[in-house]
Amino acid sequence: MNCSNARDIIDTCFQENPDRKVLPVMPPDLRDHLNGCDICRTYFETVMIALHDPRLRMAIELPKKLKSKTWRTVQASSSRSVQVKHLAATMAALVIFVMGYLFGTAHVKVEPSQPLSGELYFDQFCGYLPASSFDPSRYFTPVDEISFYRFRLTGDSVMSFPSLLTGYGHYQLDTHLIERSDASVCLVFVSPLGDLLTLRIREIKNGLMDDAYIVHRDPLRVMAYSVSWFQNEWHFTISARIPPEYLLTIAKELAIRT
Amino acid sequence: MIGTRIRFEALYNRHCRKLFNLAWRLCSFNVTDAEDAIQETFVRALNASETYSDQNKEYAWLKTICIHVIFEKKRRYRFFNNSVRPELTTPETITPHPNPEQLAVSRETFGRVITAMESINPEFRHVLISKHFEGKTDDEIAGEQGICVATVRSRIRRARVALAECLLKENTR
Repeated sequence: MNCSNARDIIDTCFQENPDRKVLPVMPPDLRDHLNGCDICRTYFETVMIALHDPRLRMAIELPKKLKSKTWRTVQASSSRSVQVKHLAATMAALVIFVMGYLFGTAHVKVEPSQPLSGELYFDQFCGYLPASSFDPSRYFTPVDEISFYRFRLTGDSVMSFPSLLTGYGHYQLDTHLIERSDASVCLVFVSPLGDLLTLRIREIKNGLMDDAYIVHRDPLRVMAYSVSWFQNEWHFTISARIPPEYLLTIAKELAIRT
Repeated sequence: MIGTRIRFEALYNRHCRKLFNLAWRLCSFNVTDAEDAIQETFVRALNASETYSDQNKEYAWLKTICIHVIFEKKRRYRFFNNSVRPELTTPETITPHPNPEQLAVSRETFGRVITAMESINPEFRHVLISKHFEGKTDDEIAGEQGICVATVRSRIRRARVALAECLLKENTR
């Protein structure tokens, strides 16, 4: 299957299901294609999640005070004196900028893309993603290699994320999005850039348990990965747009304390 | 000022409801941002209203101003804050029974798409907005823009691809 065929199928799926009430059942060859082609996966993600968001079909009422507020703004802006002030301020700023430029006082310090030593700059969050050759087996890690674990979900749990995550990303728990039931909890953490990391925990009794971390590609989001593992009859899954190696590190360091 | 008031009343009553809903969607369902965009749109429209007299295309004209205002604001905000503004509306009031994970993914992706729309060709952006943010049919878009339906469909496809490429570039940056 080529990209054009794949996009035709995606478009057709959503033309038939514009409200996205049911996710389309993807033919196996389309799924295979999406696994190997990041552009088509992004296309799928864009069309499915964003452009067919059910909220786009909703309408809201006009706020009652909008008319009077808008009119007041129009009145204020139509005053000539405001325009003159703006013009004067712009001219002053321009003169200051030109003077600063000419006399060398307006230098802006910019961090170099490469350190002075000549080594390539590598940003763990934004720099490098092994997108093309993803081999899940590379990321299997036996549980007994893990040094630090305390998982308990009885009572009110306090969760601490590993230092790297909180230090670099400052992900914060979105309290609007907590879903909790007797046997599961879903927590969503959002970074200042709007990236999110989800943690889903389910109680599994008498189930088959792999004693390894399993890394998957997120089926819905491009460049997103998820790591799942079992621990003491609980199944954990974290998912984020973070390189798999790093997500795995987070999974290993994750600690939930009561 | 009386003339401006009459003109304002006419424009507001005819188009504001539709325009506000469009702004609300383009502002990631944030009512406050949409209100700001509407106010700015009317200010600019009334300042230029003397040069514009085609009443049949009044809505299209206001829409263009509104879109410009919203994307300009987004650019300015990013310039000063170096970040995408997170959504402010509590989404659970809009969608009755959301799965938090799906909702969060939807919110994240929607924000990225809106941001990426700035980077694509304005012709493509216009078609996408009409199609997905205003819910217009291909025929309606063709009539509005004076192009044939096949061109509309082709632009929609190319716009989506351009959007996908932008998103991918953003992800790998």
